Order: sequence, then C-alpha cells, then structure tokens
Amino acid sequence: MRTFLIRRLLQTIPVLLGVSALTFLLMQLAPGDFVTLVGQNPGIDAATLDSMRHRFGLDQPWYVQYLLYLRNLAFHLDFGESLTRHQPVFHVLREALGNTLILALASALVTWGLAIPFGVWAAARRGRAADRVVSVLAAFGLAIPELLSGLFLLLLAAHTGWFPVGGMRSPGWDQMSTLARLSDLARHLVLPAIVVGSVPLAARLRQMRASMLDVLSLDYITAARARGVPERDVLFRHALRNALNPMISLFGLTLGALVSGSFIAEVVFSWPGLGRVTVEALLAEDPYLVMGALLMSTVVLAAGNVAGDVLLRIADPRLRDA
Amino acid sequence: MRRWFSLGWAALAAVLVWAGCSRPGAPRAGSRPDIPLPIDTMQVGAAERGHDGGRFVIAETSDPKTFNVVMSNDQASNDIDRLLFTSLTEYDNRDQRTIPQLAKSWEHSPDGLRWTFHLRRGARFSDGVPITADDVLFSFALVYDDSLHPSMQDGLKVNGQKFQVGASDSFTVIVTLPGPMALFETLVGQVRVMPRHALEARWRRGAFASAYDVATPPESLVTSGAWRLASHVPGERTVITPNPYWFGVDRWGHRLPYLDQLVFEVVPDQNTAALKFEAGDVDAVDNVKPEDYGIYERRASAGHYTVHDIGPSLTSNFMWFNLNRKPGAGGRPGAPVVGEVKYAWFSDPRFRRAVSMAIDRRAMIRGPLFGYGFENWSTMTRGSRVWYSPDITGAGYDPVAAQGLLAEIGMHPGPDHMLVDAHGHRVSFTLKTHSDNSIRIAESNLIRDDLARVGIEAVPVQVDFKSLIGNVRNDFDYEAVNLGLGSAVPADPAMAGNFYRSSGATHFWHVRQTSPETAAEKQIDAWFEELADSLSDPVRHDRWRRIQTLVNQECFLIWLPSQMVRIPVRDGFGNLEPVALPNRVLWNIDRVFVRSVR
Amino acid sequence: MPEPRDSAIMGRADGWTRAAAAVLVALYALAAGAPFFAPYSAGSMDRAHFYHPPQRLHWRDAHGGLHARPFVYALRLADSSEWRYAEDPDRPEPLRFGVRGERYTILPGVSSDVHLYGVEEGRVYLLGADAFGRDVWSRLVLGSRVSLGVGLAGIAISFSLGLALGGLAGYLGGWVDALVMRLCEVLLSLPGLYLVIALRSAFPPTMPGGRAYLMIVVILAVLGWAALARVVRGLVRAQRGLDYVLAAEALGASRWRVLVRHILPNTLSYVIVAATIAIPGYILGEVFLSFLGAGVQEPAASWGNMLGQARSLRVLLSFPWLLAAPAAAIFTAVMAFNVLGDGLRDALDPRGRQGGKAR
Repeated sequence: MRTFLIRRLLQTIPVLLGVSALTFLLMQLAPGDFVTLVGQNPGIDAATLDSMRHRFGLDQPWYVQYLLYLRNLAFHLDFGESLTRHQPVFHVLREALGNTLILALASALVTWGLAIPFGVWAAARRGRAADRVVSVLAAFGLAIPELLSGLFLLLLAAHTGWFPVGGMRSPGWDQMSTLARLSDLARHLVLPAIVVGSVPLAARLRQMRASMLDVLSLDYITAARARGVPERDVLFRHALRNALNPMISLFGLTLGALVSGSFIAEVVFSWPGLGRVTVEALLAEDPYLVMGALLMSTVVLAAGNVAGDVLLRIADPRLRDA
Repeated sequence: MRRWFSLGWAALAAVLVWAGCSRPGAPRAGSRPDIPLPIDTMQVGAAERGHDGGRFVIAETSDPKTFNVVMSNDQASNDIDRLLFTSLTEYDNRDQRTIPQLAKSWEHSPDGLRWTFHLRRGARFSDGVPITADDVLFSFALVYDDSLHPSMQDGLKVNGQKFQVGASDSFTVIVTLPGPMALFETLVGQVRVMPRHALEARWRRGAFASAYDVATPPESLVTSGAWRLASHVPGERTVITPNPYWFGVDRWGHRLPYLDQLVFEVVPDQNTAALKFEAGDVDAVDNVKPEDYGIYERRASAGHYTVHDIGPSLTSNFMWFNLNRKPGAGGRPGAPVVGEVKYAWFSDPRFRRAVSMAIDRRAMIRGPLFGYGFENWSTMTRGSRVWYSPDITGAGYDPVAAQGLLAEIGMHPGPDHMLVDAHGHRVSFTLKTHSDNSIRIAESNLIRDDLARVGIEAVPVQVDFKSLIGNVRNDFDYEAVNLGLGSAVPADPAMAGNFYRSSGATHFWHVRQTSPETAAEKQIDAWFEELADSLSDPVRHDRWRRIQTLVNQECFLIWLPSQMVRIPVRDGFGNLEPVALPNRVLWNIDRVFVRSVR
Repeated sequence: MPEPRDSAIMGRADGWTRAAAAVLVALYALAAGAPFFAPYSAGSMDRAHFYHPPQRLHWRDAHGGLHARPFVYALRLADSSEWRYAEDPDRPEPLRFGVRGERYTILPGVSSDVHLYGVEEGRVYLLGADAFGRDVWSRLVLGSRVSLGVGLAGIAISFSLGLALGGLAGYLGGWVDALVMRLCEVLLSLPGLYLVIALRSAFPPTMPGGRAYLMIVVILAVLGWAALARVVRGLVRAQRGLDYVLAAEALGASRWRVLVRHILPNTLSYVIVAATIAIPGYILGEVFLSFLGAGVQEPAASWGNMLGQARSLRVLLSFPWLLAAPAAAIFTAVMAFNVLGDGLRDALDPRGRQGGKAR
C-alpha cells in the first residue's frame, strides 16, 4: 500500500508541474506587467513592490522567472501578493478554500445521498417507467441553471424563514457555543448544498445504476436469488457492497469537481468561498489571486483523485497487491 | 446495509430539525467601559434622545480592501474607514454646513491664507493615548507623501502647491495656504487623524501603505473616530463598535454612539440583498435599482420598513469622446490617441452636438430607469438646491437637426445606408462602460439604436470598473465612454477642480493638459479659478453659470438622465434620516438608536 | 465482435429516446432556419413597447365571432410606471404567414425577407418583449444558433482531437501511448471553470466580447479532448489484437488507414453517446461565460445572456416570460441531450444488462 501511495503521489508531480507551467504562461499573457498593474492599485508599499520584484524576479528572463515562481510555490507557499486586498494571496485563499471545502463536502453528501439509493432503485426496476422517471428527475439538477435554482431557493428561504438568506455564518457567531455554531453552519449549508449537489446527480445516479446492473448480472447473484434470498437482501446485502467499489474512486473525483464548480452558487448565496473570491479577483484584475486560485483548485482536484484511488484500493482487496 | 442507510437519513433529518429550531439571537447589550468624558466634549445635535444598545446592519456589495483610510480607494473600504477615523472638521449632510470635529473652533486671517485650528483637549485614540497636534501634523505628512500619493492629496493644493502645516502648541494647528481657497474649511476634513504613536515608525520604514490592512487584529487597530473595529470576517461581514474614548456626546451629555454594533454585511448579489432585507437580515440597502423600487414599496408595511424618497440623485451621468493626445516629441502633445480620422470627428463640436441630439433621453427614463429619472444637463443636478440652475439646458432630442449637422460636416450615407465621412471612412466608434452597472449598459444599448437611426455605428463594449478607470485616467485606450460623476461632499462645484480644469487628472475628455488646447477650455480654466478662489457668492454663482453654459455649448459632455433615489430602511430606528449626499444612510449613524432593543 | 451500427441502435431505443431525438432535431432545425422563424432581428427595438407581455392567440373575438385565422389583440399600456398592458378588444390583428419583413442573408449572396409569421400593423410578441421592446421569440430562436452551435463546434474540435490522439495512443502503444496518457492526466486535472476564469483574465478586457468568447470556447475544446481520448484509447487497445485488424494489416494497409477506416468507426457508437453527454456542458458553459461577462455581447442574443439579463426579482415578479423563455429553452435542450444519451447508452449495451428482477 505504501509503495502504491508513494507511486501515486509521484505521479501527481508532473501534473502539478504542468499546471504551474500553464498558470505561469497565462500570467505572462496577461496584459501589462506587474508595474502597471500596481500603478492602478496604489495601496501597495514601495517595500512590498520591491520584495515582489525580488522574489519573483520580475526583471529577469522568463525561464528564471518560472524557476523562481516554482521555488516560491514549493518551498514558501508564496503565491504572490493580491493587488486588491493588499495581502499575500495564500492568506486570502486559505480561508476561502476551507469554506469551499465545507460546501463541497455538504454537496457531496447531497449528491451521493440521493445517487446511491435511487441508483439502486432504478437498477432494480430497469426498463420500467420508474427507471426512466428517476433518470429524468435526476437530470433536473443539471438542466436547470444554477443561477435560477439558486434564485428560487433563496426566494423560498426569504418567504418561509426556514433557512437563512445566503451567507455562511450568522452575525453573533463569535458569541455562539460550538454546538450552536455547528447548527448555524448546517442551516446555512442546506440550500447551497442542494444547488451544487444536484448538478452531478444525474451522472452519478447513472453510474451507480450501471455499476449495480453489472454486479446484478453476476453469477453469485443469480445463485442467491435461486436460493430464495429476498430481493431486498439481494440488493443491499449482496450486490451493493461490490457495486459501490467503482463509485469510491469517483468520490474523490467528485469532491474535486465540486470544489471547482461551485462559483455561481457561491455568488448567489454569498458564500465566502474560493469561487466567489476568484470571480471577484477576475473582475478586479488581480492576476496573482486568480492564478493562485487555479493552482489551489488543481491541487484539490489532484488530491481528490489520489484519495479516490487510495480509497478504492482499501475497499477492493483484488487491487491490493498490484 | 439498509440499516446504515436508514440510520444515516434519520441522523441527517435529526440534525436538520435541531438546526432549524435553534436560531442565533441578537447580541446582548454589553456594558460599556466607564471612561470619563474629556474636558472638551463635542455636542452633536439630533432630533430625538436615544439610549445605548442595539445593532444596525447595512448591505455592501463587496469586502473592504483595507482599514487604512488614507489608502482606501473604493467605496466598500471608505464606508467603514471614514467612521473609524475623525478629522478636524466634518460636513453635516442635513444642515449642509461644516461643523467642528477634532477642532473645536478655528479662525482665519483676513486674507484667508492663515488658518488656526484649536483642538479639543482630552480627546483620545481608542487605546487611550491622547490626540494632540503632533498627530494632526503626522496626518498631513501622510497626505502629502509623494510616494503614497493618496487620492485626497491633489484636492489639498492650490496651484499645485501644498499647504504649510505647523503647531504652536499641543492643541493648536496652523495651516498656511499659498493662495485663497473657497472650500478650505470643509476640504481639511479629508485629512483623517492617524495615530502617530502606532504608525509613524512604519511610515518612516516605507511600510505605511500596508498598515491596517484587513488582516490586522482588531485590538491593534488604533482609531481616532467614534468607532473601532470589532471583527472582520473576510467575504462575510465587518463589525465596528463604539470607541470608548470618543468625545462626541448628545445634547444631554451622554456619550455617543448609541448603537452597540454597526455591521457591514457583504452581499454581492442585488437580488440576494433584496431578499435578505425582506427576511430582516439587513436593515438598509443603499444601491437599489429604480426597477426594484416598486417591489420594495409593495411590501413596505408588511415588512415594517419605509422606502425613503430621497429625491433627485446628485450623481450626473454622461458620455464623452476621447480627445487625449499621446506624449509627443520634446514634451509637447503628440498625435491624438484615437487616430486622426476619428479625432477629426470627435474634436468637432458639431459632431458631438449631433450625437447629443440623436439620443432619446425620454426612452432611457421610461425604460431602464422605470420612470424614476429626469433629464440633467450639469454636474450639479436638480438635487443640489444651492447650485442647480434650471435654465441651463443642453442639446436635447432632435434627430432631424442631428442629421442636418452631420450633413454639414460632410458625412453622407454610404452603400449600406450608414454614414461615411468626407474621406469615405465609415462613421463608427466603440462606447465603453463598466460591466457591473446594468443601467449604463442598457443606456448604451439605447444609444446604439438611437445613433444607428441617424447612421452612426456605436458599438457598446463592457469592461470591468477598474479597467475602465485605468483606461480613462491612464492609458486612454477607448473611443467613447459612458460614465458619470458622483457628488462630492459638500455638493459645491469647486470640489470638481480635477474635472473642470484642463490640467486636472479627471478632466476626462482630455486629461492633464499642460496648457488648454481649445479656447473654450482656456476660458473654463479662467472662470474655474475665480470660482474656486473667490469668497463672494454672487461671483461664484456667475462663473458657475458661465462654465456650465460653455461646456454645454461645446458639448464636451453628452448628458444622460439622472435618477430619482429611494432607499429602503427598516423602521424602529430613531434619528435615521437618509439624505441625497453621499454616506446617504450612515452620515449620522453615531446618533442613530434602536427604539426598542431587540 | 464489432459494436452494433447506429441504425440498429435507434431500432432498440425506447419511446423517450426517440422523442428526445425528435426534440433535438426540431431545435437544430429552428436554429438553422432561425431568421425565417423569427419575425424580427435580435436587435430590433420597439420603444413604445418595453416589457410587452406575451400575446395570446385567439380564434373567437370579443363579440363572439369566429375567425378563420388566429389573431392577437394589440395591447395598450395600462399602467406606465409598472409596465402593465391590457388587451384592446377593438384592435384584433390577424396573424399572417409568409410575411415580408427585415432582410436576412441565408448564404453569401443569397438573401430573403420572408418570415414565418407576422402582423400587418404593429408587432406581434408571442413570447413577449424584453426591456427594449425586442421580441423574445426572435431572440430565443436567433440565440439558439449561438447556444446550440457552440456545442457542435466544441465537440467537433475536441472530438477530432480526442479520436485522433486516443486512437493513436491505443493503436501504437509504447511511448506514444505513455505521452498522450500523461498529457491527458494533466488536462483532466485542470478544473474547467477556474481555467475559464484564468483565461478570461489573461485576455485583454478590451478585446471585443465576441472574439474573447470564441477563443475561450476553442481553447476549452482543445483542452477538453482528454476525457474522450482516454476512453477511445481503451476501446482501440481492446480491438488491436482482433482478427479483422490483423487481416487488414496483413493485406498491407498502412497503419493510419487501419486506424481510420477500420478501428475508429467501431468506436463511433460510443463517441455519439459521449457527444450527447458533452454538448450540454457547452450549453451550460455558455451560460456561465455570460454570467462572467465573457459571453456573447449585446445586442447579439444567446440563451446565456438572455438568462443573465432576466436574473432579477423584478423580472421574476413582473415579467416572468423574460426568465421563462431562455430557462425553458436551456432546460429542454439539456434534458433532451441527457435523455438521448441515456437511451443510446442503454441501447448500445452489448451485454443487455439483465440484472433486473425476473418478471
């Protein structure tokens, strides 16, 4: 296992290098150089400017700049300065990333919490009307743009008062007990998690269904049915455990995808996450912040992939000694 | 397996139910530290007598970028920072006059060049350190620092010269002007008092610009104003609380502010802000679009709020053509940025007049402004009681006359019925505006259609606000821009020096000229000096009329409608009076109180 | 055994799938003939009729008389501050078909001015008008060219690349395979939406929106081949050792020919399914780009920018047709592609997946 983990992690290095190269390239493409950008943002100290010029070698040839960039990233976690927030990019992103991860986890819960049971149900009723209906309903989350579903849910929240209207924490958070904080967070999470989690639902449900059907066509299932095992047990005790295996590696992938796909929901629900910070950075022309966000979300995606693969190996003994 | 599932769902349901039942309440009114009042308190007038306690929440579209009021450049930061730091004087929005703040009184020499300010004794920063003349001198030094070049520096000069600032003792500051300045006693309020003991070392090190950034721990942020920073959650909200050492009191000698907390809630989306307002999460929304006024009004009584009709906005809207020149040889102005072909059209007042006459402003008022608008022909709109002149008009809607003018300058229809100029070039230009203002975008769309009817092709382009400002002020990479000018405080035309003077940094259509290029601009420069320097009202009003008339004759600015302002504010707050001047809701927030503490 | 061919697939598709296919054919037909189906052009404003609601078709007029052709009532403005209109029973306007209206080009050099329907006096708004009095149906139909077209263009690029590179990787193996797969991994690790934002930020804001938008779509398509390539590679690899391939190679066919003429066609059915899943991504991506301000700019229409403009409480409460039209169009297209993809996938399944309980 350990060798696998090490090997897998080593495999992500070229990926990260590739992305950092891409990010660097994009930054070079961005119009104007650092100095003009700073000129438009007078809140930067002369000292900080010099420090940045020194740290990133802004007056050096591009290959030197790239190496310095890599060095800063790898050893100092130095993503540069945010021109609009007058802070190191890493500080700005760290908090935002945490918030997005929370939302992504909650959304994953929604996605899987619906995909697994309904996927199984659809597989059991394959070819019948129920199967189709479930697939179509699951696709609603994908076919209704998040802009709209978010707006509708917010309206619901405003009119019924059951949920807060956007935001992540209520004012007075600082005075709350831990338990109260958890409950506050949960209340704020429900609606955005539904919006974000319903988008990949159709695909996951379909995959769950397909995986289930694969397992259900295996001999041991036929044998169990022949033995007279009740259908409910066939589905949940015998088939599901194996059907879940391929889904496990997908979990990591999904999490990564959710992290990088929650923009619109974050804006609509005022969720202070990575997506919203990035969109604001884009509109405010803060290149280091945008690039830092790209890098960070890539790292999360890659980590999700690795985690998925590792989980799969843990779950499926057949893959262990490969 | 199934059991796990059912358990899982049950647990989730339980969590949600429990979460739904427990709601966070409002903060309990904390007791304030009992700090004795200073010798020289500042009595602040208000209609009603209030009591301590309560919270007011206002919606902002973005996070503050810094708490350093000297460096802050954007509205979200300014809204908060100006409450954290006081100044020598302040402008009272309701009475529309300058009132004392840190300076309890002042006098000036007969020639208006030497001003003496007497500071209050016993005034302290939020950490208890006394505020003295040294802090005021330090604050002026920050403003005049050329490497920082804060935005208020240019307004505090006469003929490009800085003022001399000195102190005769710990509580007396003397400012010497190089020349008379009509609005000096108000403008000096732009110098915010910064703590020398906390920041001077940083400044000398060259690290002032990043001081008091948004990551500063609240306890170490020393403020001089009525408020201090309580907490800042990035992307969510900023909370400020009363400065326990503040020298302002109400008429009964009770220390202000009344409110325990002032919360700036970050709500980037306008729809969400409206919904939060309805849900009771925020108490005021200051940037409602006219199309939403009806929505707010519909539910006013049920929602226990009032939609205040503030009246005409003080913001003027206009478009203009780029007449800037590239730097030429030997420091002289070079070729026009837009190229000779387009410059030939843009620089001809008849072309500009024709464009102005082609625009149907009534449709703009009816459409994007939903009827809540009015035609405006000056930077002093109808909302400015003192400086508005109803007889100043501009080139109104007359498409037939517009076509006549265009024909006069040699433009005739080409093969596709759109105009070409005398040399055969298609008459076409791009019209830029910023992407976050849907009203300006809609107006640009209508302008495109209007101009197409007279044969001119205008191509609307949207860029984000920062880039647009960069284009307008620095790189001049545009052909025409649709923007506007907000009101300064006070709403006096002399505040717009940078705009009207041909040498000004915001003389949009031709920025920072070393000497005025057109005879009209030369004339405007001369009249503006008299406007800014004279202390005589009739003279100032006369020059102001002349400036407006000439600007409109030349059509340097192609005026667009301004809007009527309504601000929804929750009921239950005493002394809350939204006004048209900037800081519309928060201008007197230190005197606002909650009628019954929730 | 080679995968079953397409004609056989559709034969096994169920009713829902066929319906979805029909809907898509209809949508693309509308897009293709958009200027004909739309009575007005996308930018044609009507200042007297801002926020005009949809007009109902009638056959029976206010006096009880039956008309041969459907008609609409002209609307007059009842309340100008709230933009409420009321039907004017004294002004019925019969719908005419094959009317002459604004001229449009079909092909370079060929133009026409015939439109499907229109009215003689005034304008007809079957789906209402927007804030500038522009006909929503016209903008919807003309905007479908952008929204639906971008999907086709996108997959044309990404699928060509994916097929070519995946096919080469699977067929040739060795270092080609390794290189392509590593490249795929890098590309698949990129979070798509962040990339869009980063690209948007890299392009100068002064670039006209249309061009920036196209460039971003092209770049996304170029980067999006990875997912398909991976799967194609697997499929091709599986076929590499099959008899018909060995036979073709023995007969002296060049490797390229074997790949293109023999192997890839057998992956076609999978590719078609993948396409139906990928296209909705482009449609929704266009909505996202419009939200960022990087999409098609005014006055051109696209479903994304129509939705973006209509995204306000005011519209929702007073002018819901502005939101409903693009939302319904997006929903229909995405749903249809989804159902079609599902159905095709089911129909293609060689193992027939009989896992369900015996009836």
